[in-house]
Amino acid sequence: MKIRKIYSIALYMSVLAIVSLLSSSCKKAIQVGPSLVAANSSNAFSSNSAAQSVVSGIYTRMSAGSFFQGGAGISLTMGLAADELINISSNNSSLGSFYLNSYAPITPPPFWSEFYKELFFCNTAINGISGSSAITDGVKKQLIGEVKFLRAYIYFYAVNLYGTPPLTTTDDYTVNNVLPNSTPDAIYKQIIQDLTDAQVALADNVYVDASSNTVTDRVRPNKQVASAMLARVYLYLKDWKNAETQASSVISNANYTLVGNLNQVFLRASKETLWALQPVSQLYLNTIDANYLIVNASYVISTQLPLNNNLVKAFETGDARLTNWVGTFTTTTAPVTTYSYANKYKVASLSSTIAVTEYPIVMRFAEQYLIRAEARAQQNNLSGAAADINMIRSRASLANTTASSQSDMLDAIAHERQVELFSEWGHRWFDLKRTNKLDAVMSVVTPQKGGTWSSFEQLMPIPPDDIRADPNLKQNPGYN
Amino acid sequence: MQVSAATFAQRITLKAKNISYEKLFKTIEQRSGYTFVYDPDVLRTFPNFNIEINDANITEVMDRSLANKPLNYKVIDNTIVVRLKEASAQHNGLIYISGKVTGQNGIVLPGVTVKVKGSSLITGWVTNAEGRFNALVNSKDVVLVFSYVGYRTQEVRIEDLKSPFTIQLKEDISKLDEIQVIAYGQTTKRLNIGDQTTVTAKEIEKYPVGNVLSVLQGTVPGMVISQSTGQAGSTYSVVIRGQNGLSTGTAPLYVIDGIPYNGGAYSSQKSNFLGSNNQAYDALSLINPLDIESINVLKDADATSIYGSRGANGVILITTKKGKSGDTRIDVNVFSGISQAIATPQLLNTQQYLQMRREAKKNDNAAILPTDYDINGTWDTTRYTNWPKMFLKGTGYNTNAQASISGGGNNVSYLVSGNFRRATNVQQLVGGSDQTSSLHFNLNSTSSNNKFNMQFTGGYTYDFNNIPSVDLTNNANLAPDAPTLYNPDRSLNFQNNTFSNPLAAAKSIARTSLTNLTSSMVASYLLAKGLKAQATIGYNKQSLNEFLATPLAAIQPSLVALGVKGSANYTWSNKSFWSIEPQLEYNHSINKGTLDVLVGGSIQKQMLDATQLQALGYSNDLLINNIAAGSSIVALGQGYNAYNYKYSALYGRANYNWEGKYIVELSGRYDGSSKFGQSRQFHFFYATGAGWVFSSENFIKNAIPFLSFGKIKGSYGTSGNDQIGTYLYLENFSAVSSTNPYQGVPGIIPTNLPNPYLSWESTAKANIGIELQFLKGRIGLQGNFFRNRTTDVLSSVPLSSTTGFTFITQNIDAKVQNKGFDFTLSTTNIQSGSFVWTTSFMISRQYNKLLAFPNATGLALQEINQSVGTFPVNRYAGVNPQTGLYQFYDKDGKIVSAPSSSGSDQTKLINTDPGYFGSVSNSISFKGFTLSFLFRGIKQTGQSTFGQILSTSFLAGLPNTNYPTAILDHWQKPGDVAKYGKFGSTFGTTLFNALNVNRNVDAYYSDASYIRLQNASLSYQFNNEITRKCHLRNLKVYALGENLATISGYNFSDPETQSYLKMSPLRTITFGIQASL
Repeated sequence: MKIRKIYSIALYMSVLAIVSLLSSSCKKAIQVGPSLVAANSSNAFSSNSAAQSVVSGIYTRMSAGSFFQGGAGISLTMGLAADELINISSNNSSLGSFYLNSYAPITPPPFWSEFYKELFFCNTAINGISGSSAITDGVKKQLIGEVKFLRAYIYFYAVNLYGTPPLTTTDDYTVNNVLPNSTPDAIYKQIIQDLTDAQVALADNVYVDASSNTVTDRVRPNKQVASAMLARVYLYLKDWKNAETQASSVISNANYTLVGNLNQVFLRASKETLWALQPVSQLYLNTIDANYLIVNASYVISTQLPLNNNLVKAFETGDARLTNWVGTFTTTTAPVTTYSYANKYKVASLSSTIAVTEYPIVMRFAEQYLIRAEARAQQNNLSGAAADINMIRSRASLANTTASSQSDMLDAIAHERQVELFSEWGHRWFDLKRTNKLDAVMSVVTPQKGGTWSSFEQLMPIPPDDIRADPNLKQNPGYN
Repeated sequence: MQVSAATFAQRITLKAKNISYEKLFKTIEQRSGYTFVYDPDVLRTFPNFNIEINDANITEVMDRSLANKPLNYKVIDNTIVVRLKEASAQHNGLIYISGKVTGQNGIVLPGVTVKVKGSSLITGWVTNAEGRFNALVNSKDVVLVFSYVGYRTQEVRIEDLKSPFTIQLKEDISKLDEIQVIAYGQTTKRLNIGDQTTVTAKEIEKYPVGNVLSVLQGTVPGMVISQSTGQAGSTYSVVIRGQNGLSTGTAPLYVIDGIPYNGGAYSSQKSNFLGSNNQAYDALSLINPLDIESINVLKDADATSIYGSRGANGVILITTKKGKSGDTRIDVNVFSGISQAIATPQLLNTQQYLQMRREAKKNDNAAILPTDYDINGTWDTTRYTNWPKMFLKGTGYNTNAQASISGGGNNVSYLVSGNFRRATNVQQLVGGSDQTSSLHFNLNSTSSNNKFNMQFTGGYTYDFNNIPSVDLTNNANLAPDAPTLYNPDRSLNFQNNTFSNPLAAAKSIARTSLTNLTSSMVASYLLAKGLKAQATIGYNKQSLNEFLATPLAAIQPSLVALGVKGSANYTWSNKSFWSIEPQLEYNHSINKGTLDVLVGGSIQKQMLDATQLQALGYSNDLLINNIAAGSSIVALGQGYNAYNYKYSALYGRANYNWEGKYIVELSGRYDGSSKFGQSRQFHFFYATGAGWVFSSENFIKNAIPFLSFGKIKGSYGTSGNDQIGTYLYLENFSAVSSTNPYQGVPGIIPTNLPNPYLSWESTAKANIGIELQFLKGRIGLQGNFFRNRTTDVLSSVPLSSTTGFTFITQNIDAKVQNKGFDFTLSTTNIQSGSFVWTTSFMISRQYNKLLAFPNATGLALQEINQSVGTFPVNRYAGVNPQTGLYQFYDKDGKIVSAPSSSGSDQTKLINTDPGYFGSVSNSISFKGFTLSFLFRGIKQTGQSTFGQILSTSFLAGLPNTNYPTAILDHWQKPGDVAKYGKFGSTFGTTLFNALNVNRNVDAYYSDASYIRLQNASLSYQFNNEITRKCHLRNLKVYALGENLATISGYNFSDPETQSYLKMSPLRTITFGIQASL
């Protein structure tokens, strides 16, 4: 009978299925292979283009914000912490903690975790690329050079913000989870090593893309950028001679000039750019910082950060930077208030159709003159120093410096740094700190801002969660 | 069917397929001069047959058609009388039995199942509308089993019967012999030694809800369910017997008709509104509650271990309604009603508010800023709007219509049902509705030799939700002098860009379509006596298609002026799942006992495929619905996500039952999952259990005559939990989201730290239970004591962020214990004539404790010997009467203005686990009326009024932020003793440090216990005469109410949501009618 046949087939099928399941390896039944939508450690460094994507990932993350740009970026946060920016909105508590120089370790400044995330990416990339036999030598050299530069750049800020951050050069979490605090010496040694390696590995005199093609956008470091960073590092280490040497090598390079028109210094194609980042987000096609710095009525005013009057007053009469780089805005509703604001970047717009004219500039050529001026002044080469700062002053339509003694010269340079580099990269804060003037300035400024200054606030608190997780890690003094 | 008959002088030619006797006789009547006399009920019990007759006379026709049947006939003139043969007469070894089944009061019982004892097949015979049945059996020794829901199952030896006979079933108040669904099988409450709770369709019908989890809330001992918001599509959290692990999911395993079901939620971008972590729309809301026959919640090892690695959190077996043989039956059920939100606390009025703001400015010596629109004159300071009332006003309308048709013959039965449900948004200012349509069917077929059986069950649900992702309650703390929502021309008012109108968000467009397909096929074949082979094959698919757009109309005009454009988010997600489970079942009598053995295997695969895109740059709203009209299309989040998750297992169970008195059971499962490291994929889980029905012992019967049933049971075993992400054993690199890749090279970055040693979390469960019934089931008492211990705890181990990540998922040596008990007491208080009053009381308590946590020094986020839900907090010391600042105790008991941020002053522990929880339900019926109501209660610690107010924004006096009137009790001048500190408009350092320890102050917590009248229903069943006049089998009208009243000392906001800025669960009242044809 037909039906009986169907039944017996069904019976044999089910018995067969049980038997086959019993006998065949269960293991096979649960093989899924790696994820379809993610690469993994076995193939992320399996070709030149794979490795280029990994490095591109690091740049993208940097450009997307956090430390490098935006509300948690170094320019805005440390501008608020110093005497550059003010926080007019009272309900912005994350920026408020910087403004009042008062950090609750329970909600620590975001730099720490961002630094170590970037450092983990850098270390993973360096280990992965150098250990891969599938990547060609030229690509390997360039990518490792770039990543070492980026690692040095991050450590520079880590050591200046945190004092003794742990030093990590591996991606192994079992090692990284128990690191003790390092010493500034050890960190600087690593920075100099990385930058020296980068000088050797990176393209000389030209800017390239991931595939070593020469390009006009200056969005990846080259040899000159590494030298410029070394100049800054030596300056911070008070190694005046080396600082001067490295700065000179950059200043003598014909690719860089001080842009005469102050309104064109911060353009994408500016010849003053040493290293910029390419904007990657759809929302901010230009810089993110401009959206916080430029004060205007149509935008939500409470998220904007006008300039501190102390800074505005610091400009000399006739300084073209005051007219070109500082804007003013007067509110229309009572009480009528006029705000000055940083107007180095001109484009603050969220439009997705606007032309891309400005890139966030990370390192700028003008700083090299200021570095060399200071290094020369410290070595008592006062005329050399004067020549360098006069380059900066004349561009700002100011007369040559009148400083004649070494200490006057150093003061003049410090002042020049204040009005030249304001709202950029926390220069003011780190300058005051490295020249031991931070306590003197902040004990006046912090009370003006509504807070109280304590010297230990020169360094940021380490997140308490990390101190809990890492038994060898100690909190910075002053933060309990 | 095809019938052709030609009569030539009483000679008949006839050919028919699949014909019934009635049809055949009618055909012959039409074509010949004969009239038939017969009992249609008798003839209807015979299966259809094929017949072919060529040119035969009537005698030949009758002989042929009645061949091999226990029927005979007599021709009297032109009348043919067809009758049953005598009952004792044997025919081909078959015995014919005919009878009628009634209840105690003589009312006929249609739909009673009559089965041959010992046959493992599901089908038997079913009594018809007059309560009659006809059965054919093959031996005199056969015992017939009569079973009917709500009646005591009766067994009758056919030797003792004279056909036709009438049998009376007794109403069963003990429910001991009702069938209970267990893992891979069925048993009765009497013989079950696992710990489980059953909720039947009868209960479910009392709830006017779209998600059956709402029914389980309060009706299952040991199970805590909470809903994240009152909105349709809300997610639920379900915890059975406490949290077993530290960071694994607590969701139980759902199994629908034998096929595991992806419970939990859909991934949706409406998560902020309906759930959290990208989760919205509980998957069970796509299972129509009215299609569910029963829900069984399995808790202990005996019941769950056979589900191996996924049984640790308990298992919820859902059995959908199946077709029943018998006359075609049509059931219609329609109900409709309203839902309302429950009011929030009173906030400051304009005068009080302005006073608060000015006082804050004065305290800080701060100037009134241009941005202080609420007090600087920009807004009309004489306005007053009661925002909470304004935002919650309105009524949601619910409608639910269900129709089903079922029936079948002896070998085939079927059920098809359809349901439509619509619920409109309670917040009428926002609008939108949720509509669900579903179809459910079941087909059941048995071969005529009763050896082969096949069940095919399926359901398809389509849900469409267009409620914008807005809960206006979030904005209830707008300044009371904030401008009107609308301009006179009904456009939205933004008051010259000074007012973030919350209704702008309500202009966003939301369209979510969800579909859910569940299907299963169970085929079984009786290989030999007692040996059955079975295969269960299932396929489920859940998909989501979501469109969420922000047109320009939903954006503040100031931003539009700046160039912000419209955008639209698209999500398409498909989660599908298949499973194949072959099985062998064997049962055999050994001595006085019965041995049941089950072995089987399982292969399963789950696949996810999800895409998220965003279309940007819509400069007007005309084509916002067209993805191609945006200026660019970018990947949203991960853009595309896909995974495969495979699973395989072998399992077995043996159960030995000695005379229904002693029962022992062993089960085991060898399980593998693709989520774990290559060398750690498989694990063995086992359970052993035993039960003793001591009431069957003669010495007990003699000693305690009023004890009608008593059983002690115990079990011990292990089950596991694999609720972690996929691919965590690998180091994965994912794309960094960016719209403009860096120099054209899309970047990738590592997304996790790999752990190749990942494996199961395992929970050992011990359970001891007792079940007692007194006075023939009038009083029933059940108790269970349990202890679960979890080892190899899967945990996100915190790492220092110097590793690049803040955690890694690992199996750690911690040990978590859940210990507790639950009791259920059910009584039939009155049962006299047509008046019946029953009460059921249940109470549960569970204690969670972290027994071990080695190397905890680095990870001291958990306290040993405390619940895993415990966390340390600072002690609050009140407001300083001199300064008006909040104060705290440090670890030495000294009063400080700010506790240590390192946590060293957190010397008090807070535990928000539920304490005692339970419910009392009553059902009173009189004649056709039934009134039932359920109170649910829970003792718990939750956010205090102080905590709710200060966690919203701990500085009272900020712009455009209103507060409940409780804040009026605040510090104003030195010497004031007040509950709340001084108002302020800016964050002073001290205050900032002090209260930025958010959630970490003991005063943020208080008792939040409550008792809620969760459900009430009143129904009236029309009596037989009326229904018969309407040509109906059954007619019922009813009213249902959900979340009707709350009794609580916690009177600030809803004690379940514990936030005055969130919509609480709704109050719903509906009226309905239920009719059967």
